[in-house]
Amino acid sequence: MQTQDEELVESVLAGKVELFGELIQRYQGRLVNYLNRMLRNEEDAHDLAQEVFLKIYGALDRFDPRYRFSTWLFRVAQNAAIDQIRKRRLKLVSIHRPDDADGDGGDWELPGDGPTPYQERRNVERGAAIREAIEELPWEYQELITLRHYGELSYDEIATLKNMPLGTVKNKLFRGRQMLKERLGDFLTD
Amino acid sequence: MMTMDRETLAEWLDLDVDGQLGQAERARLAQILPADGELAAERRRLEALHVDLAAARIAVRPGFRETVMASLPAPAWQRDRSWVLPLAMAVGLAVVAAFALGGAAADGALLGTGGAVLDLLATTVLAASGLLAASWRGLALGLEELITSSGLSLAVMALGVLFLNLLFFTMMRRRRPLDPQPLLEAVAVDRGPDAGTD
Repeated sequence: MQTQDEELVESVLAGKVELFGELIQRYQGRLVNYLNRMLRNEEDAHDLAQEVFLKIYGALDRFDPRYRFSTWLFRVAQNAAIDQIRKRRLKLVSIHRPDDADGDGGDWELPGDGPTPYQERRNVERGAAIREAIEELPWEYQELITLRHYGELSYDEIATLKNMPLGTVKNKLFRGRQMLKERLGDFLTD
Repeated sequence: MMTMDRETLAEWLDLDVDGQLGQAERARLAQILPADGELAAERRRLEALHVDLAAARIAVRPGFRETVMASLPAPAWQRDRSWVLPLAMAVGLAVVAAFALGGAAADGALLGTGGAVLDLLATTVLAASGLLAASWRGLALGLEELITSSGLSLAVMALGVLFLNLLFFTMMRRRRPLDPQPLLEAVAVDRGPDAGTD
């Protein structure tokens, strides 16, 4: 049976520092993906995930075992991400062309990494469409979708983290996915 | 069988695909699905959405865990505190010895050493307050001379006081609350004329 996170924390505090690596192993994928959605940049997501783990490690003796480790970790990560967004004030450019003389806008032809097979191109387009569809969601839905599908938190953990009733979490995730489904329409895997 | 409204069915379907539907509801849904083509199609779309969301995840950089482990600092809870107990014992012994020796030296006065320490403390406090008072007095005299010397000096002083106040005001200003919404609005991608029409 897998050791509980909270037991691992206790062991680390008792001197088995190497067991912190087990906690990293458990959460690195979820944390990096969550931060990648928040920061919209893989490199920054990795850097911040590392910072979050170091911060958590430094404050491990302040962890309250009555709560879940995952909730604590993601709360720290969320605050760190918001701080980073605040600091750098992401400057992104539009992928939409300004209207031309006929009043027809459209997307810029974005350069790819070279010629790719049709399927790969389709996947890239789908990935971009998903990213855009998530980013277009109202913040409250976007946040919950990110926590669920990229942070892979359970409904209970999200409810605790966001201080929301479980029913609200279910409802918001349902609405969020409905919106995503409508927006993605043609892009959904067939 | 009691009919269910579409909204509830859609919610159940959503929970089911996300693995969160209770057993009883799942059994009920399994009965309804084969006879409801629209619901079955909706289920396929939801499953596709889950697949696509999962496919959009990124891989963690190789060696990430090792890098983090290698950069772990020595946290406060791990630092060596073995010197604390001996130091505390040494201080305790010194205090006991001081009282014992002081008591022996001063005829019948058990608090001889304690009294001397209190005297020393009182003298230190007195000296410190004297110094502080002298510094303030000196500062006041200097300022008075500066202000009364010319109108220009007075104006410079006034400006100085104003800037100092502004500086304090800036430093005391509280940080904005941790509400990410305005931030995200500020940094959001300009999605063109169709954005925000839902």
